[in-house]
Amino acid sequence: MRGDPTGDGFAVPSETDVATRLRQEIDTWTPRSRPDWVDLLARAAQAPRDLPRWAVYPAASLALAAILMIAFLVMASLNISLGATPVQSHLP
Amino acid sequence: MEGGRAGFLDPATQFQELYEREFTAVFRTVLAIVLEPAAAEDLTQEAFVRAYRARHRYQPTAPPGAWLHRIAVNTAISHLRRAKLARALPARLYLPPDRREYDQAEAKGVVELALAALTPKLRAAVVLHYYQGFTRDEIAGMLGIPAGTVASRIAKAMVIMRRELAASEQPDDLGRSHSEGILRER
Repeated sequence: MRGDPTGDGFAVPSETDVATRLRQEIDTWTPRSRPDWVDLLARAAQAPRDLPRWAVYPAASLALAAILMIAFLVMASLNISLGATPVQSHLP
Repeated sequence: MEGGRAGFLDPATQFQELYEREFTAVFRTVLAIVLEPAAAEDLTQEAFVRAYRARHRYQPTAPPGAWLHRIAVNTAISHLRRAKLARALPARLYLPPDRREYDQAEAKGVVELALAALTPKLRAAVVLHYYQGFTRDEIAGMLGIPAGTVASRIAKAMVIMRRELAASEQPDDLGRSHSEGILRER
């Protein structure tokens, strides 16, 4: 099942061919270890590493506030204003 | 191609049976995304741990297989994202456990080489559709994206894979240098 050759002279396989080869290849993939139910229960019993869902927005808000505060302090210390810098012009 | 098409097992009450039945299918999906067998085994177990913790929140709007694959795909893509972020940090702050690139996993077979040329999201769409047999709508529901996006990802992945497979089968050095060139550019 071959598609038409491209302008580069490549014989491009058809979609069906690619899908078949993909299935054949993946069918050979087998995990070295068998399902380990005891390990799963042990891992599940440990505290989850992820933040609880209710804490995501407060944590993100705190992080954003900290970033803005640090940026404000840095800009204040360097005398950087948020507005446009006035143009220095010398009129005759 | 188990993909959750077999008899229904309720995650809340039959999780162990579901785990044993779907383990290999989920492992294959995860491996197709991360392309590293050792990481895939660990991530498969991690995905089942997350599913086990969430088993009472399972809604039977999708088959348990689809629900498990959604968790597994998210786990695999999060892992790759963390690995990419870790490499972006200065070496003093973080020493990566693994020196492989984000989506340049070591490819052994021709098909793996073609998969390695895809981004992780394209790999996920390909394996869920062509291997696990999920429809575009089912994949859209699993990944939380529109069906049109799934279709375009599958089409884009297929174009890249066809080109990679054609290039890798060239008898002379042309094909090999083409594939290597693509990998180097990424």
